[in-house]
Amino acid sequence: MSSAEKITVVETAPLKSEKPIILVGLPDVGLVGIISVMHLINTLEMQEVGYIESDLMPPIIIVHDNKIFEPIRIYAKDDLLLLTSEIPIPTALVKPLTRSIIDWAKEKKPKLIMTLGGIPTPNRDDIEKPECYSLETDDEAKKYVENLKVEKLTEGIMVGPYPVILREAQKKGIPAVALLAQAFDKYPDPGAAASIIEVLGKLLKINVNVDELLKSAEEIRVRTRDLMRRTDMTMQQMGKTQELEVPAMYT
Amino acid sequence: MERKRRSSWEQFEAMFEEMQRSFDRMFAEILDEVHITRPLMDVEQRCLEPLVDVRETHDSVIVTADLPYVNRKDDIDIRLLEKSLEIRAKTSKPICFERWGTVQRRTHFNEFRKTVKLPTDVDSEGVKATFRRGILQIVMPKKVKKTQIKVQ
Repeated sequence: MSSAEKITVVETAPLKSEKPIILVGLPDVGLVGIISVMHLINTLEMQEVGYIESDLMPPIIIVHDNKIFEPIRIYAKDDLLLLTSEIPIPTALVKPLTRSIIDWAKEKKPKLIMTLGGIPTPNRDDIEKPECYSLETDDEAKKYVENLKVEKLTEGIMVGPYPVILREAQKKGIPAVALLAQAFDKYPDPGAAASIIEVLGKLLKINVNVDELLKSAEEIRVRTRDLMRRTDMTMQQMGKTQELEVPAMYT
Repeated sequence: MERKRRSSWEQFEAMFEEMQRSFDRMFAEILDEVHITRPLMDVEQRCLEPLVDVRETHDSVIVTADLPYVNRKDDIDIRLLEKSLEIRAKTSKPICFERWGTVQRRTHFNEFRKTVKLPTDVDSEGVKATFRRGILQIVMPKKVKKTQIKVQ
């Protein structure tokens, strides 16, 4: 990778977290990760502490309250770090970006990295309360989810930034968990995000009320339509429909 | 000789129809590409474009649409046209968010509107529509002529 293509994690405030838990919420199935982390940032009043900088990124800035933000940002509160993006991660950027994030994460000596997302569920509109599933990279990661009463993701195919994060974390010896809720694949799904947050509340031993999230579900579904459409296009480029298939190996 | 000429003409017609279908597909793709550059709203018409999904099974075309703020099925108007489906749905209240873009936040949106291009001909008889948890689903049987072939 040339210096012009370098991906840098820029810290804008000192990170005092010791052995943090790092949550990752990126645009993916049903925007479950994004909706979950946005609710956590607002409810826990997390502060922006960094962003990702790279010439490989599209030329985009985000404007909130007349202030300029990078699309991929890091937030912190106590021993909780959170990485999120307001744009779909371009396919070509997934692997280099993920490696840079995991290199940065390793320096922070995290207890756990947890990705938050959705599992495309064809009969989602029949489901009142989506169930959560987990996939862990090692025994240490399994300890964090053993009492959370979530189903294990035993077979399947994962496509996109999250499986790359899991694999890179595994290679670097960082315990990591993918937490996934049953979700609409092409529509923003605040209900699935609420299921994720309820599980997270037990893991982090914090009380994050999801009532407000569910009350504003319709607003979220309207506001995130454009991001959902762009995310869907990016997911199609990555071959995301393979997540509805079953792996070929049977032994 | 007459039969041969007709056969050639039929071949030409088939070729022309295939070309026509290719052009239709190409223009649909181009229109989709153009469309993606626009946000999912029409400020002048005060209408929002819903997210939709179109999929096919072996005997039907299924269109779903996400319609937040639509509370009553009577507020949804669906028209099946020759090659497309038109969906219009009134919202239960005008939609406008303070933290929206400079153009959008000056507009109150009252309706969802979308015309969906259908991938194949459908039979207007037997079309079923349901609306549950804010998701509209329209199942349309494909218009197909079936000929049973016996295995010898």
